[in-house]
Amino acid sequence: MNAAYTLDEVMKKILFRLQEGLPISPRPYKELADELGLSEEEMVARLSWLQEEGFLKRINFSFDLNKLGVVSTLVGCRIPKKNINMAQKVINAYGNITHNYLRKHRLNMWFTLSAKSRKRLQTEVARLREELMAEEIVSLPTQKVHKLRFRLHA
Amino acid sequence: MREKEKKVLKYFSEYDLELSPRPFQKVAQALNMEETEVVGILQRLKKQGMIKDLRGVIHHRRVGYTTNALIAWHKANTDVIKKVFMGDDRISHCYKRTPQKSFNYDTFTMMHAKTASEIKGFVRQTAEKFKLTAEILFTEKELKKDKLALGKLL
Repeated sequence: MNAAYTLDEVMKKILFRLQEGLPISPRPYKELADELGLSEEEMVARLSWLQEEGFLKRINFSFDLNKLGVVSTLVGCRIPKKNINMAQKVINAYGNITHNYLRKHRLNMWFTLSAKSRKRLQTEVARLREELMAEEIVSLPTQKVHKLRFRLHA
Repeated sequence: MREKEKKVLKYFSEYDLELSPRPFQKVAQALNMEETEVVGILQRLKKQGMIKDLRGVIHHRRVGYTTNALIAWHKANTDVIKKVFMGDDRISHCYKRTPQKSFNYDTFTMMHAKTASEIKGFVRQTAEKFKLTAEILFTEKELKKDKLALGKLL
């Protein structure tokens, strides 16, 4: 997995630049190519390579969920080891749970839950407490997003 | 929001942008719209702030960031948020959340690093400097990471 260091300088520049946001235009890769002094064809080929090699997961739009009327919460819970598979299955069935991680902590499972209203969030957390057979569960509703931005250096 | 805008938003909450010179052409076909109309809607949604960005998502493990952690901070003030969290590229998320009795932290950051000691060192120094208490919840395993389909939420 240390192949990261085989990236040439142009690839590194592209990877970093991608995190800064692309223009929304009919030919976004051409604009990006112009900026970095490449041809559109080469840019598309390099992006495909970065994706095939696993450096680039995807290019997509990110949304301001708050502006779209979506509310969310971060939920931490304590699930006994023997129940983790079961809990994972329960969570996988929820389309509005997008992230789920095991963490080194008393509260060992953490996921994010989104809904149309605060009330709906509460109802779903109460239901999840039952379904997950959690020994402890804590819901931490989002008040404000100060920062959501990936800007890692290759 | 008009129906067409919802259609475009829903589409891009489920699909990535294609790596081809005219990535919006096929989208337009699928949505029974013109390419320029799709691009125009996306530009407008960006201006209105509902779309934050069109950007590349990097596989952070692939570029050497093999360790990450959720860090929970007790009473993080605007000083530490502005001076430290906002400017540090290793911190991808910084959220203010409603604290709970059983988990009394109000600010949550996600940090990506090359080693666990880098994260521990950062937390120790920051906590000392700003007189904060914090807990580190290292990521053990990713169980789920999906995009949020907006279909049922808009």
